[in-house]
Amino acid sequence: MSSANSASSPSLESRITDFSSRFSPVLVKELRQGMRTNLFVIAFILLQTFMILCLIAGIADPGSRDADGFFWFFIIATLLVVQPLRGFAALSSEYQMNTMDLVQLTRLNGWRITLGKWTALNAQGLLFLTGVLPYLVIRYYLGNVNFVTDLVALGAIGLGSGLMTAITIGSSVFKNIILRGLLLAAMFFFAASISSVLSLTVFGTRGRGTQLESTLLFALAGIYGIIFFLSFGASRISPLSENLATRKRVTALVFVLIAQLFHFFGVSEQVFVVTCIILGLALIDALTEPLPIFSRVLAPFRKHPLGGLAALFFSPGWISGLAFFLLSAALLFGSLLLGNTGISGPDFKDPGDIVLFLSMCNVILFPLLIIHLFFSGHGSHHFTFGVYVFIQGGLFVLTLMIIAIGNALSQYEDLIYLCTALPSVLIYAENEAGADSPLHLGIALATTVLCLGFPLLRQRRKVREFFAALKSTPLDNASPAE
Amino acid sequence: MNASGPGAASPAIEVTNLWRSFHNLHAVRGISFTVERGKVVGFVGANGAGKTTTMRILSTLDYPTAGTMKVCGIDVVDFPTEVRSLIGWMPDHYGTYHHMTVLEYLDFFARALGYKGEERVERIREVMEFTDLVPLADRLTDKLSKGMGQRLCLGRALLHDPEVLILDEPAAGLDPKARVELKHLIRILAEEGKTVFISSHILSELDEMCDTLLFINQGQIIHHGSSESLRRGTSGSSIFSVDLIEPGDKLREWADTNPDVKFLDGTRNGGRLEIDSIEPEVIGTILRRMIEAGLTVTQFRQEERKLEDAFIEILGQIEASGVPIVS
Repeated sequence: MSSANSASSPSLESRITDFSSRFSPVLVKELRQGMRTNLFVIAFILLQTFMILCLIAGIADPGSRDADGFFWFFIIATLLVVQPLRGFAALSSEYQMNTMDLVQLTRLNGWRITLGKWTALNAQGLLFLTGVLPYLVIRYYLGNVNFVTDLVALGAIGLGSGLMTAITIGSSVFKNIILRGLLLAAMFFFAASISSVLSLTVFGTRGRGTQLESTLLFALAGIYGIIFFLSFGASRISPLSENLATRKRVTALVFVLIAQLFHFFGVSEQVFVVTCIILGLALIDALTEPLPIFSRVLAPFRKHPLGGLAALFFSPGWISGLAFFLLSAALLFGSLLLGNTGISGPDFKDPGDIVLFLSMCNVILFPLLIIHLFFSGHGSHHFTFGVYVFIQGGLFVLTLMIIAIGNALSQYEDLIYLCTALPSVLIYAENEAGADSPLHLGIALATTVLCLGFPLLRQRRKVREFFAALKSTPLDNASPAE
Repeated sequence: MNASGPGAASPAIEVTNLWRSFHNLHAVRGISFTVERGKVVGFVGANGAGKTTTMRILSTLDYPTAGTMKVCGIDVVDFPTEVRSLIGWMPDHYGTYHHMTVLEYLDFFARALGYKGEERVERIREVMEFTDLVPLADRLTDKLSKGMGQRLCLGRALLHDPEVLILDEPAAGLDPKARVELKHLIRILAEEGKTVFISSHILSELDEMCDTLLFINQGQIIHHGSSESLRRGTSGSSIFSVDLIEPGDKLREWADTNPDVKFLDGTRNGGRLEIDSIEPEVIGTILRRMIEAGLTVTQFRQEERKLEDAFIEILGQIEASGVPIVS
């Protein structure tokens, strides 16, 4: 291109240097766009108006619970619902506007794109929070308010807002609005269920540790959730030849290991719940990954002596996902044994404990069996994950129906026994419908072997290709220069 | 990156036995071709012929089912990041953002390409001046006309000064003025030594710009060569426009009695003939026979074969023989 003659407007520079070059390009873009949208302006004005109204109500009737309730309601509604929902089309709109291809051709990878969008939305959320702080201070001077508790609550809402925003951005990768809506509803339901379970274990009376440690563990799970859902979106907009799987799986393991430290603070029950959440999310993602066999992806593993072994667990694709599943199961097993030293829990001397443990693992694995039985021809990342979620949802509903029908019948045990091939039903049978542990153990073991073996057997050609590529990827492919 | 970079001796684009299938549909069927550095190559084919699929693979946005594709010697599948720094991609549907001005749009992509500080401002300024976007700097991108949008899209593709430009139907939907402006910009880029790989289904659009033309039909390359070689065709015939004093029917009657001459279409006083030769001696003999037959020839002029005619002729030959023709 011909060299520029620099006679153009000097104001050009001032108009594009409003944000430092150190800011993420996506953050700059999203902030420039986001601050101009009507939704942001309207939400900000509405929140300020309601805050003033709540304040007036507080002044008129000091100590009023209603004014207090409204105060928090508007903050929660804005930060946990309105703000996250702005990310509903964050990635799909890039497809609709034909800009995703253009962005992918820059130096931005999937992670930087999703992180930039998340940061921009949360920066705007932070503006909302900052706008609320003066009212918090004024309420303190009006009395009947514990400022520290309010700040902790505001922090928890901020973290929750970050998690919800990550969920909406992660699920916005699906172009179909109905699928996206359903998935978002499922993810919100999942997040709400987990939050309530965590709230019970963290803030309830069951944990033995202090509330500080439990709160930190709760925050750890929240931070992992944010990383997971952003990575979820990132890996689906990245080219298959980019390896995001290793980082995702290693991150999950690091978070699990950090969580294990909390065993020493006497909060083992919470550690178990958090470990299950982290590994569960990581495994669903790993087991539904497509199987790209690119020398670019496998070559870095071959540079190290133990690289082949690392690739078996951490390279992209569901085959290594199965190996990662075994590693995770071993970690969870270890975590339970470690927790057992501090609290009363499963010692695995009773076969029933093993049945429950295997069945929990089988709950994660079982949809994979159905996918490889009926949908093995579909290699799409979006499709497999969507099918997995719907199968898991379907199995959950089916289990509830079987239990409900079983309980309504006089000989309910027969029906329950007939359906113990479903891992979730087996958990119920082991816990409630009378112990027959040796038989249950046999069923659980058979299901595990079937769930692990069938996909490998069905896709044996791909498995052979994967191991062959692992052995034969030439190291010189790591360099593009010829 | 310039010619001294990695793979400096390699062609700009090298495609070997490339296949792309979507379940049972084969969009690209084993195509192979090479584009030398600094050339402008037109990629021609009907809608659905496989142009965009090939270009998307070339731009690292899709994957081949089989075969290899290299840009300046670098494999597009194994090293997409490296290839992206070498290519500038302009899709058929350019993307814009709501609530974003032209200047902010280019600033976003310049930042995303890794430009910082003064260098970023300078690159944006150069590109805006080259594509004449300075007067539109504060215009919202979703309010631009098609022609302005295409200039913006070209500007974005040029931000990192790529070695190879991949332009998918850049002139589609443009008015004549915008089309001329775009052609002018591409010509300047070609003069500066950039390799331009440009697709279209309008042959006349590419004729003036391209060094060579690549024809693709149903996922297969059916011709690779200059527009001149395409005009000459593979049949070795030439077309002449003939004017007579007599009515045009006389020319048809005469052509029907001569096996080496084919009557194409007639006018009131003449018509067009296809002669099965390009040799001047043979053509001279045929003209002499025409005059000897009593026809009063007032004009006998060789017509330049239209690219569209040549393309259709090649398609006809493929249908007849079932074998692709690649010159």
